[in-house]
Amino acid sequence: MLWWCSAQGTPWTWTWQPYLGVWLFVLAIATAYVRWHRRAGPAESTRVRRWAAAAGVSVLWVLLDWPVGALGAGYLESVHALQFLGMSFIASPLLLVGLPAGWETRLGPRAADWLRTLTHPVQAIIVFNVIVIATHVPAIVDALMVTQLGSLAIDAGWIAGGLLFWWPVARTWPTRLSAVARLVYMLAGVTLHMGVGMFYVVANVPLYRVYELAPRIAGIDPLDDQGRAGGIMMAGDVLLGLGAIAILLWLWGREEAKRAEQG
Amino acid sequence: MSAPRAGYLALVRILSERLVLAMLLLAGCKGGERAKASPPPGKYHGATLVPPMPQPDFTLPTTEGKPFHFKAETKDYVGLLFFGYTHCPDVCPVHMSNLASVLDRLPVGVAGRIKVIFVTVDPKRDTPRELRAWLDKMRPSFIGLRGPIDEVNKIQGKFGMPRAEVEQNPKGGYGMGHGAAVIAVVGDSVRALFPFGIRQSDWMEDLPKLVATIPPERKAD
Repeated sequence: MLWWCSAQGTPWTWTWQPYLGVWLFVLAIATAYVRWHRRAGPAESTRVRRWAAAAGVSVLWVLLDWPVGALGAGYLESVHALQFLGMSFIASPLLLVGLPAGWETRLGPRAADWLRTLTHPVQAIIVFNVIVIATHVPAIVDALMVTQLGSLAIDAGWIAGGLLFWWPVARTWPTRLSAVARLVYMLAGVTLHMGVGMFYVVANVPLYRVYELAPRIAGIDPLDDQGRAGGIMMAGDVLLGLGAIAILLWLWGREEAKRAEQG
Repeated sequence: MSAPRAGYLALVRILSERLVLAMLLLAGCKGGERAKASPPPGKYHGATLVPPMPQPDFTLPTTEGKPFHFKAETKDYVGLLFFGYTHCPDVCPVHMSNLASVLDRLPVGVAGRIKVIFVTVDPKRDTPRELRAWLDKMRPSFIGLRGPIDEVNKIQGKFGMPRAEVEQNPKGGYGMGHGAAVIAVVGDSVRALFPFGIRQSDWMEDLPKLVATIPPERKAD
C-alpha cells in the first residue's frame, strides 16, 4: 500500500491506486475545518466561508490523490505544474477564506505571535518565493520526488507557502492591508513567480531527471512537456493573478465609494 | 510611457532576470543547459571503452526487407545500436525518444552523421510494419532491423550484451528482458556504452564528440 504519490519508475497504468496518507491528510484538514466552524458563531461561520472551505479541501484532494497526484509526481511535469498552481493559487486562498471570521483570536498567544510574524507581507512574500524556487530546483526535485516522504515535503511546502502568501490578501488579521497595498503585493508575488515558468520555456534540455527518464505516457516528449509546464505556470500566473487583481480592484472601488458616501 | 510605469517595468525585468539567474545557478545550468563536470577528452558520459573494442559485424533485414550490413552501413557515421522491442513499457521508448529529441536539436552537420539502429528482440510481435510505425513515431530516420531471435541473441553476444529473455507477465502477455545500453560505434570500433539513465544533456555533449572522432577521410562526402 502506497501512502503518498511519488515517482515509482513503473509504467503508467489507469488502474486506480489508493493513497492512504493522502486520505488521512485531507480528512485531518476537513475535520479541523468542521470543528472550527462548529465552534464559531453564525456571524463568523458564514455560508460563503463554509463553501470556500469545502472547495479548498476538495481541490486539495483532487490534486493530491490518484490520478492527478500520481501523474504529477512521477510522469508529467505539466501535471506537476498544474498541481503547484492548484495548491498555491487555488486551494490556499480558498482554505484561508474558508476559515471562520476571527479564527485567529482563538489561537494561543505564542501561536498568534508566530503567525503575526510569518504573515507579515514582507516575510510572507519572501518565504513563499524561497519555497517556490527551492521546490523547482532540479537537484532538489529529483532527490525528493522519488520518495513518498520527499514528495509529501514538496506538496506540504506548496500548501504552506500558498497559505502564507495569500494570508495578507485573504485575512484581515493582524493588519488589514488597503486594497492598493494588496494589489502591489499580488503583482510582486505573481511577477517573481513567472520566472520559474519562463525558465521552463527557455531551457533546451529536460531539467528534471525524474520526468525525463519516466516511462512515457502516450509518447509525450519530456522537453515538450516541460515547455507545456512553463506555459501552464505562466498562463496560470497571469490568469489567476489578473483574476485576483480584478477582485482587488473591485474591492478598492467599493472602499472608495463607501468613503465618498461617508465623506 | 509614464515614469512610474516605466519604473515598474524596469523592476519587473530586473526581478525576472535575477530569478532566472538564481534558478540557473541553483540548477547548475548555463544558458538553460545542464552543465556538469564534463568527462575529459576521449571520454563520454556513458562507459568509455579503453581501448575501443573492434566492431563486430552482422547483417539483418531492415523493416523494408533490404539487407543491412552493419559495418559497411555505419563506417562513415556514428552508429548508435540498441536492442529492444516496441512493446517495452519503459527503457526502449525513453532511450529512443530522448535520442530523437536530441537529434532534432543538434546541428544538421552533427545529426546527419549519426545513424540510430534499433534491433528488435521481439520479432514475434514486432512485425516489420509495426516496428517501422513505432520508429516513425520516434524519428523516421531511425533504422529498424528484425531477424530470428537466436540470430539476434548471437549478435548481442558479440557486443557483450546479455541474451534477450521472455518474461511472463502474471496478468497475461509477456515482456522481454534485454540489455538497456545504447552501443556507440565509430570507425570500425565500439567506443562507448550508454546505459539507461543517460540524459539528453549528456547526449547533447557526447554526440558531437563522437562525430568528431569519425576519421576525416570518411567525413569528406
